Amino acid sequence: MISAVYIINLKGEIVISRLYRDDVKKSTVDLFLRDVIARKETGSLPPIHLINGSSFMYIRHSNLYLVAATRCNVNPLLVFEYLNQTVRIYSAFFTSRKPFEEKHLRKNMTLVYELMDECMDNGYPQITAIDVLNTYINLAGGTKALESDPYERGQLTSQITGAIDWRREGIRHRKNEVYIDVYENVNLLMSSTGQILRNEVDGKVIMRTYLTGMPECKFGLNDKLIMEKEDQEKQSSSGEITNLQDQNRKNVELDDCSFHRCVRLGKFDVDRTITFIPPDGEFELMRYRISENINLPFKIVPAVQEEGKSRVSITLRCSARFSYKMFADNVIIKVPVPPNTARCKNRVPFGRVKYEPEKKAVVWRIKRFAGNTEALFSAEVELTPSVRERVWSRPPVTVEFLVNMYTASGVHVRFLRVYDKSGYQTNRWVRYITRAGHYQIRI
Amino acid sequence: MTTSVATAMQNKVNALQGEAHFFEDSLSPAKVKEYLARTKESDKLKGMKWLLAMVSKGKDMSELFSDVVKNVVVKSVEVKKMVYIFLVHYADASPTCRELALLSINSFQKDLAASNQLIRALALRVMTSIRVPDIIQIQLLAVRKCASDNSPYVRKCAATAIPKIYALDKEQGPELHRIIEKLLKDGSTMVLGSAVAAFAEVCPKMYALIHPVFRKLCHLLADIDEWGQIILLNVLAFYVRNHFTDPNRMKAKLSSDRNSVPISTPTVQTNQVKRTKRRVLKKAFYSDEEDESVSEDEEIPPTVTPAVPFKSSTFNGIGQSEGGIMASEQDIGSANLDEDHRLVLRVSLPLLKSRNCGVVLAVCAFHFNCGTITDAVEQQLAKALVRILKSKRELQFSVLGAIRSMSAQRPKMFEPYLKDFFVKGTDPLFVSSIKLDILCNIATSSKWDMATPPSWSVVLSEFQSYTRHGNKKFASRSIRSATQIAAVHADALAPTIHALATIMLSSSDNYVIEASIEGLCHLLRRREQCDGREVVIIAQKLANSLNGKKSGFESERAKACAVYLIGEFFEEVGVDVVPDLVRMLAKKFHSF
Repeated sequence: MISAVYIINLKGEIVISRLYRDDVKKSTVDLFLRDVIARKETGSLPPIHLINGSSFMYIRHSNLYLVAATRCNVNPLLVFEYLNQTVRIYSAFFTSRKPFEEKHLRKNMTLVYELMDECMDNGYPQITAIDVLNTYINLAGGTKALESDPYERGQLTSQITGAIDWRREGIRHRKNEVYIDVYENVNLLMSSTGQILRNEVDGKVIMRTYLTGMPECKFGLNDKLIMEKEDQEKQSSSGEITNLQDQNRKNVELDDCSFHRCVRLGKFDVDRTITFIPPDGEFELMRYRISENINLPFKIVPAVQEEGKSRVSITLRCSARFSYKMFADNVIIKVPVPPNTARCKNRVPFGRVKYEPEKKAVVWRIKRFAGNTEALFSAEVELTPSVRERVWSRPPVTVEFLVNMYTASGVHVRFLRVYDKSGYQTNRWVRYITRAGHYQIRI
Repeated sequence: MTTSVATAMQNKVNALQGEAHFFEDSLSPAKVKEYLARTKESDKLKGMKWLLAMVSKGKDMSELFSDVVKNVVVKSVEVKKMVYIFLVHYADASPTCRELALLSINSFQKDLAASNQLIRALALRVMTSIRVPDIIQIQLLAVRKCASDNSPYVRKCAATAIPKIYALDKEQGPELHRIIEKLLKDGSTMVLGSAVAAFAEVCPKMYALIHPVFRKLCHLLADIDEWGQIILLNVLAFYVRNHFTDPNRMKAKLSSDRNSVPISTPTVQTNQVKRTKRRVLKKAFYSDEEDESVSEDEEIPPTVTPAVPFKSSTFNGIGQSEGGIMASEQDIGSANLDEDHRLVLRVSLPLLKSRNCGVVLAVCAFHFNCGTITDAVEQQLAKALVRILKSKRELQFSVLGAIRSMSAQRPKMFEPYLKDFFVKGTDPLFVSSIKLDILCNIATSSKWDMATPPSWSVVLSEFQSYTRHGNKKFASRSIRSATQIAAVHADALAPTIHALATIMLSSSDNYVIEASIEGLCHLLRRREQCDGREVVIIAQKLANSLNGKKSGFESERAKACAVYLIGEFFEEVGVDVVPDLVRMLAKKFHSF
């Protein structure tokens, strides 16, 4: 299991260290610091290093490295998952979910140590649910001492020992509200001839719940499998043919999904319903992947001509393929140019465009790209003659964007039902955001 | 007056900075000693915080050990926790520290009897973390006592403490086994995770401890916390490999097996049945198999409780519940499977949808090593692995490593996800080269593939774009992989040879040229009839290089390949040219 956890800054100094077992030598750690962290090439090195029989696994978070050392043959994903959880926990405790930095660690040093103690014992990860940790961390400004009233204490016991350790009993909210955010990242890799090489959507559903009691929730997306089943049931029960509206409705096929641990996986396996008792506050309910019938928000047709050795002309035809009622925000189109570019004459109908030599690209920034419009980008690139003739590798055009209230996959939330003994009313809010993941077009 | 204002200001500043100033403050150890000796808690706190800051910076603070140990009796939990942290850090730093650590034992023993379960757990955790051999008996006593505590939280701590004692003194093995055995029978899922971890570390081969609780562990797998699941899956994998026949090889053997007498030593545990029942009640909403497990528990006569899980054909409790529960049931397939083997495969499969990537990988490894080979399961595993591939960059590396070794054995599994392994422009070399291997594994195996277009052609055309990659090492690796694929598929031979020749001519990089000529050397041999066009070009290039012109044939390997090819195809190159070339070559052998 994990022998030690270190938090190291970019200079290679240990900010925090916690040794759970004493089998990793100090000299080995120094070797790791010297050979890996201090070299500043971690981007091109694998995240696992073996030095003298000790494995070092690290992740980077803002300006810090979180490193775990072990001498066992441990499941590497367990370690990385634990380190990522650590980041999540520290952010929640120190900076209210914003990325934390070295100064925050120093500021809350004792709390860091206490958290390190609670989350891991003898190298085995223990409790990592923020809610639960919160109830028995007592160095955080002495909010909750161990000697609290017996009622509290009883509650704590039931929470850390019960089957549902992500929610405590007796939560009360004046307004019962649920916010559902559906985020989608569109990944695209298109060849220069317009052929789609890879296209998929990575989606996640983030939920913020402010609900009283221990409510049971049922959540439904327009999942193709469910919808077909329901239609069949409807037909068989009422004998009617499904009406027109049903036929027009677009259902999506969820390729693959994973859930927060509050969701009953067995139930989903049987009949694909998503049922759960939610944690209080924000959590990631599910992730999904969709690879069929994706609406591409942007279509880009490139044309590149290398005219002799000193000129390249690039034109792109970009069209926004969503409804004219919507906008894409912060669109950035990065068009790569050869490294020996001298000058660049660009023409665009709107937005700002600039040749940025450090990125070896012409970058076109558009604050707002209206739906259902088309724009033409053209650039005349002049090259400086170089002594050694080199073939330009032609990296792909990359696109970034954000579209509100739009899902590239067509997913939408059909319902969220909340059942609680007291039978209160719940307000539900849904928001959809589509972003570009790896959106690349080869040229 | 002014000083008090100044200190007030200082305090305010400190409050704003939190504890950061302890890192910079130049308090002298003597001053800290004084702080620790004072009665006021805030002063003690200040001293401790400074100490911890120094420890965290890597300074040796063991000289203050005695001053800290004195504070172990302090009432304030905040000070106590910090003292504990310090204590664990330095307890075995030097002989004096070891002696002093013994002084603190009394206070731990007092805390072990506290009414608050968290205090008990904390005391146990810290005391067992002190690595001083002198107190091992006291530690052992404490663990044994806490293992039968009424709070599961304390029992969990006792379970995690077991490996600590074992690491300190291997002699205590037999005693610890007894405690592990007891804890494995625990009903709380919280305890089980840690108990299994202790088992895995202290006595991973003593399967006798697992036999009686095997089914319980299977049923509770989904309820154990995610970290425990990973460890348990690993333990179960070893167990299954040791105790069940390989389902993929047992078809023939089966009929004789059925008749054999079950090797069983039924252990009687009446209270275990009660426990499982209690679990059903507690789970209410979260049990996946409510109806099933209730009926099942009633079916089990108390005397035949899950004994040794070898052949349980006499035992039909589970057989009933198998009916039509899960879709995955048919997926697992193979009617020849042992009931218990089937059970463990069935309960682990839904965990593929876990949010914790570690669990997903553990399930995949488990099914890969212990499961039946059916398309449905393989597809589920591949899908889950491809999913976790999409998460953080650091995870990618490990997941790809796992996929690489799986795809080497069962390439069919990942064929539908071919495009997910295409290299992105931003992939670092260590990721892209694994992806290359995976693609190569898939493409070289799909020999009799009927799909259109066949995956090898998709992969080859993808590789063609990699050969222009900015990183020349990667480009040359992709050329080598393309050669491997073409060597397997006869249809790919001609286009690949053509492509390699073009690359060899157009590239200016030595690595790439070397890789492509090696590839040509390899592939041209396989070709039945050859017009020798490529060889003529190679001969020309070699001649250029021998005349001192720049041709890219600088490396020894490239030259060696060229010479081999010229020798092999000397008629195509021209009978009059070859001897001349060889003569020029021989002139270069200065060293002889």
